[in-house]
Amino acid sequence: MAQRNILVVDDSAMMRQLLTMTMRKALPDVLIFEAANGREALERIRTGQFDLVLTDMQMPEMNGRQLIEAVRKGLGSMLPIVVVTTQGEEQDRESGLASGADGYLTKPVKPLELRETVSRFLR
Amino acid sequence: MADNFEHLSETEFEEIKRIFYSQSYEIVETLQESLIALEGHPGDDAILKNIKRYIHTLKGDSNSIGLTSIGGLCHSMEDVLAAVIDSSGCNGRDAVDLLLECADAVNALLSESEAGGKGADTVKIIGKIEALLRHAGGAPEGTKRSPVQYSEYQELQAQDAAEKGLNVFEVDILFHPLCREKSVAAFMIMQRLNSVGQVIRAIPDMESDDIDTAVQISLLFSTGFAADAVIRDASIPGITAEVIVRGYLHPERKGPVTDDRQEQGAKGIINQMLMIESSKVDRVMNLVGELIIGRSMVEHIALDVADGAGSGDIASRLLAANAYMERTVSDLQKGIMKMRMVPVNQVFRKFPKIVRDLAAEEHKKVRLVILGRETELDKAIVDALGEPLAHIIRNMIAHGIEAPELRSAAGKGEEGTITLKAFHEAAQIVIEAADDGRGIDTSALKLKAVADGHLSPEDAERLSESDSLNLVFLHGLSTSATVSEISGRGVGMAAVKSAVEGLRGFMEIESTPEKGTTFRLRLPLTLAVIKAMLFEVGEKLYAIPISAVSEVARVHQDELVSVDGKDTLILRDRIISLIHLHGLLGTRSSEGDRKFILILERGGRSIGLVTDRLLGKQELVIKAIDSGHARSDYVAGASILGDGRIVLILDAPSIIRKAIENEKARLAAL
Repeated sequence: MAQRNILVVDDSAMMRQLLTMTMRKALPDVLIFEAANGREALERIRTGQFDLVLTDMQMPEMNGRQLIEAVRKGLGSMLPIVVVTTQGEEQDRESGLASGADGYLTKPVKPLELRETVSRFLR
Repeated sequence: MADNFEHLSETEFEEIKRIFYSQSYEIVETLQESLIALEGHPGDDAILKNIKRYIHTLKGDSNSIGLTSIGGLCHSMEDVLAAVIDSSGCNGRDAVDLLLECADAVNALLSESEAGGKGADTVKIIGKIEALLRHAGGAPEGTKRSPVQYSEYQELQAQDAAEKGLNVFEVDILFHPLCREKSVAAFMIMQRLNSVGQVIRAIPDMESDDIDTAVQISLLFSTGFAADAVIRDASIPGITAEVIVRGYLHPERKGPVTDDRQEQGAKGIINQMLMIESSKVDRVMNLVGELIIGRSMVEHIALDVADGAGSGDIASRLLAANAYMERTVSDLQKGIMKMRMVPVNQVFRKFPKIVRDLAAEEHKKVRLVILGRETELDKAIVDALGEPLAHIIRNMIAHGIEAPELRSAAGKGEEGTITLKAFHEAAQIVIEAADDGRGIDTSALKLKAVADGHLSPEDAERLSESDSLNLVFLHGLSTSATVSEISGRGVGMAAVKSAVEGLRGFMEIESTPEKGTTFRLRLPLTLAVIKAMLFEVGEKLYAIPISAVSEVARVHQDELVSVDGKDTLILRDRIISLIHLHGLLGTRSSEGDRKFILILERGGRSIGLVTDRLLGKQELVIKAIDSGHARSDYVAGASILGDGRIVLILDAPSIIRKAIENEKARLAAL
């Protein structure tokens, strides 16, 4: 399998690290990159090659919805995007999916669900 | 912790926890700042948005790491915030006060769990939140968690269980949105929980019809297991959406006692972590790249030598490679030093809240002005500054600033002002805390010092004004008539002084009756060690950072020539102007014939510093230097040698600057 690149976008460094560690275990040949907000993420997507983006919704500077819209409309890219939202905040998930996300995960993210979702999009 | 982490190794999980704690303390602090800012700008959209995000991140992170008591508290905070945002009638000021209280509670929960404590009591504060929201006329939708009144018997059961050493929890179990047969689901959950403990009370009642329309069930539950085990047992995929467990204590019992030693240990861990701006790391990475280039330059030369090619210019090419690497290494060192430098705001930012709380406690009106918060200094110093500064500020609020009536009577504004200020001065950082209060009564201080036997009446008589002020640093001396709750136990200022001296700094104090008091902390820029060249001029010992010295020339007095009335040295066809320390610091040089010239280089300019004798290189720790003690623009600090001798560390850039200025002045005069 060719080298796969995943971008993890979250303003919480702990959440990024947690997602990264969890994926690294299950998917050893995937490279994982991080961005702390939508703006940083967009910059990375613009200049890099990614196979999947996992993004938080509530972030400073540029939130998840704005990021998805910028990727879909601004860059015209169909890059798979999965939103990672907090339990009990369904409106975030809805707004993510409505702006063009391809899937969602709920925090606290279960390792198994994370692996399944990621593998599904990388297939 | 939740089984969500079984896939991680011990070290990985430790890493996650470390990031979690350091990040969460940071967020709580930022949250407190924003809440205080919100008081000044009620309804400010940007501030509200940030506050919302901070709480949201705290909630998500805590829940993800299995600290659901913090998650639950954050959830309630979100309710309060929602009420503030749609201003549903609740008093904004009360809400902010409550949120600040919540932030304190989150902090306490964090340090407790970090120290390995069990879930703490959040019942009281969540009760307050609910009371506030009820007052505001209904909580936002979906969060109607009415405060639970337990019967006397239920309270007794809870107390019994607690006395047996069992945990008593309040458990909220939220049903999964897709869960249909809720009465069956509730039964399953009860069965599971009753096998590991005892459900004392369930709301709604399991027998009632309410259960089928319930969004959640709330339990009072006693068990020998920990909160995370309860969460695991109560969670059923597809049936429950969320399980929140809070410690429940009987109202008459005191809150959990925190162990000071544990707390300190926890803080120690955080202090070792250093958050570094990524641009600083990038800079260092670039320099490492340049080092690699330098190494390959050397490698090429070596290969050429091996081939027997280009032997003629080998020496100059090696010199060029060496110069290139030297520059890079020195930049690298600076870059790494810079990483240790953090803005003093990391400690200043705590003070708006401290001042606010203390002023309220003392019934005084105090405004805090912070200046120079971007001033950078060594991380270790910043971390250690918090306590001593807090102590000074406490004293100012308790004793310095007068009560509003007294201030008005004295023709001052009711509101006192405390100014916290940081700035660079020579190679020192100065942190100043000033109040506009009543000032320090030196005659009272002297009387007290005499009464306590620190001083004879005759000595007290002779004491200068500034020496009298320094009496505040005497151990156990306090003149305050009332021993206040927050300060004034007399040990304070002595401890502050020794803390500052522990940072190789020192304190100054100025006070004018009725005008106020200023405490000045002079601190070295960094605690780091410098490599220095030691030398003597006359009887005195000096040092200069070795990085500033490009070459040392040993010359005979005769070799110094006077060019246009100026001492110069001709070194390999270069004319180097010399500078004598006695011109700068008034130190007479000895009469010897042989001199050592330290060639200092900066920006392509070279000057020679004339010294009598070289004592070699040594690593020195810079100590800040006090104003009475040979302070000068040319002295960066002092150090004490192993044999107790004091050495003054010269500031090379200002010496070179001075030499260049002299040169210009001389040329202009010609």
